[in-house]
Amino acid sequence: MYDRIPCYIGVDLNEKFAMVTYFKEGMKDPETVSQIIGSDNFQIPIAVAKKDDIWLYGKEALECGELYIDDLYNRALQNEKIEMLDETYEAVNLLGVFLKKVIALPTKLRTPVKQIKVTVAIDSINREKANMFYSIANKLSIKKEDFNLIDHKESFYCYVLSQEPNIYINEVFLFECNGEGLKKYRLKRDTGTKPQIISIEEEKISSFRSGEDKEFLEILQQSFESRRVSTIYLVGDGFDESWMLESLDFLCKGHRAFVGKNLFSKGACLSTIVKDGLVNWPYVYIGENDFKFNISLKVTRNRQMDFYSLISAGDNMYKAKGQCELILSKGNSIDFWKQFPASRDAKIETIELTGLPKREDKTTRVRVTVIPISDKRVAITVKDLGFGEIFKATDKEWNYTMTM
Amino acid sequence: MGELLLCADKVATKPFKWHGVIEKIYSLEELSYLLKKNTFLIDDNLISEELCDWIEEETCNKELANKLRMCLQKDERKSVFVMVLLQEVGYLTPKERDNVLQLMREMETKPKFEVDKLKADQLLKNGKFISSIKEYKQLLASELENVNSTKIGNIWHNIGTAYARLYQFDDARENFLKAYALNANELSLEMALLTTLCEKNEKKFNELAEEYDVDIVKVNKMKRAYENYSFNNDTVNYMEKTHSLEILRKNDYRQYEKDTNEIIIELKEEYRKLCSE
Repeated sequence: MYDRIPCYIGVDLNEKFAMVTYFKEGMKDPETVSQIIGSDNFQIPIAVAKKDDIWLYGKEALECGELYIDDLYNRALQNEKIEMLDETYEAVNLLGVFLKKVIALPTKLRTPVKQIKVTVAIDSINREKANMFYSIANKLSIKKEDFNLIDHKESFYCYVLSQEPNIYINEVFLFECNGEGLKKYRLKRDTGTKPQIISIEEEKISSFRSGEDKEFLEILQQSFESRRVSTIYLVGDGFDESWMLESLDFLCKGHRAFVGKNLFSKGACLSTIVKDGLVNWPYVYIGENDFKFNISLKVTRNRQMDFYSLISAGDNMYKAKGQCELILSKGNSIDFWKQFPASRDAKIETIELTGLPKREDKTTRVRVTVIPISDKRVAITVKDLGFGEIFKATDKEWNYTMTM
Repeated sequence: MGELLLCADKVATKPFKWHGVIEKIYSLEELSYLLKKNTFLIDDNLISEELCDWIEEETCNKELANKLRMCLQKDERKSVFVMVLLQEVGYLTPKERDNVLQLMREMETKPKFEVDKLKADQLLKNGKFISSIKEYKQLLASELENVNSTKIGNIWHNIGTAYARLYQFDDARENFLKAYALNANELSLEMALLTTLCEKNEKKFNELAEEYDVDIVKVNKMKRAYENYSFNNDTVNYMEKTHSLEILRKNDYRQYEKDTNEIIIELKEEYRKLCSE
């Protein structure tokens, strides 16, 4: 008997490790899983090995001695080809093998699942990384609508707003340290809007080294000055040792502080649950990978005026695609309505379909496709589809780039 | 200011055939358009379980298909079926839809002869010449007691038109002359005379003009009109093509043969389309 809801899986990937968190029917909260049953070490080394025709991953792969291949994430981004046991593999395919194993880890527990939805969280996203991960998802036969790629900021956002309200009653900070350098995220809520607009500022402090208690205290004091902070999260190996003395003292005064490593994988898992509409979510976060404004068309639908949304602010710019088919009436132009989410005003940009053959009114069908090429720019293609056998399509295309 | 109609339903992979109207319909919008243009041809061949199945399977509009099936099950009038379809698709304006329905309701009360003639006329207008000839001949074979000779003559005239469009000028002439005998309409006689010019048979033209006592002014006017009509774009292109082929024949016989064959194939294909039902 299969569950009514899918199994939601969040995977956090950095250069060295992956972490997996999952949530399925019957669970109260998402849980992070270890490769070793019963262990509380959730970090899975990003490595694979082949032994007796079977792929091993993570710790199992490392135990193969010289036969393992690690650093797959970086090597995949560099399009490396790797020789192993007289065969040549593309690093991106090996990363796919690794991810397949990692995603399967939660589904081996308890009952089998009919459907999985996966979100991968990485430090930051660019088009190259997005293309790579979506291509891997496609090779793993995960449908586009069942796979998401988010950055750590978005993961942080989903994690924090899923906690009890006291956690985010004021500003929330996250400090990430994996030895060298410190990353700081500051989450703010605009309670005057509906839905509440969440913003996250990011700052990198490259000079920081793990173990520097006084430096960290100074950073905390400067960050919190004149601010009301309710919660702080400390993430990464850099907070493992007990070097925080004065800084810890400061953190615990009037704030709640948490240390851990699996926040991003939990946030990734929660983001899919949020996107699926399983929880009430009166917040909106528009990150750097998200498209910044709404683009719609004013259409007639069932003989009534309506707005058809092609791309919405907040849509992932690497994944979003708006498409529809229209019949033109009383003219050969299309008006695109552009609007920032917080604004009441809309701008209209018109595309004239010059060169369309003369046809009777309402006998030209066109396909409109809109794809973001950055967070503020889209590529629009309009294609003439004619009107069946009545008026043959010219297949003529009009291509435009549109910004706000 | 323009309007954009959102297409909610899928375009079919397998088209629907509406006999006598069009070989392939791919969308509900096209169907709505054709219903408006061919209201007289809406019959039981169209309003059928087959159409409902096509709507469900190809356009993925199960809801509409089920509503239309209900109409069939309740044995509703054709106008009710069409109203449901046009309303749900929303392609026609309310006025256009009401016009279609009004026409259909009128047809439901008109005598069969008039309805069948409207159907045949629509087929002729749509370029379905062979189907229109069949329909007209069926009409002529039916009960004509209450039909006046002018109306019957007009039917013969239309059959003549259909044959002329199929380049069958002998048959066309025969029908135009039958029409003239019944409707005494000068146009029918004119058309009969023109068929001889189309055959480039001036002798026959003159014989016919004499037989029917057509005055010389009219004869010359018709000849001039025909000559002027001949020199339209198609004819000029045809003459240019023929001229080029003639030069080719002298210089490159192989290419001449190839080009001529291609033109013949094209013309045959065009004619087959004319003859399609």
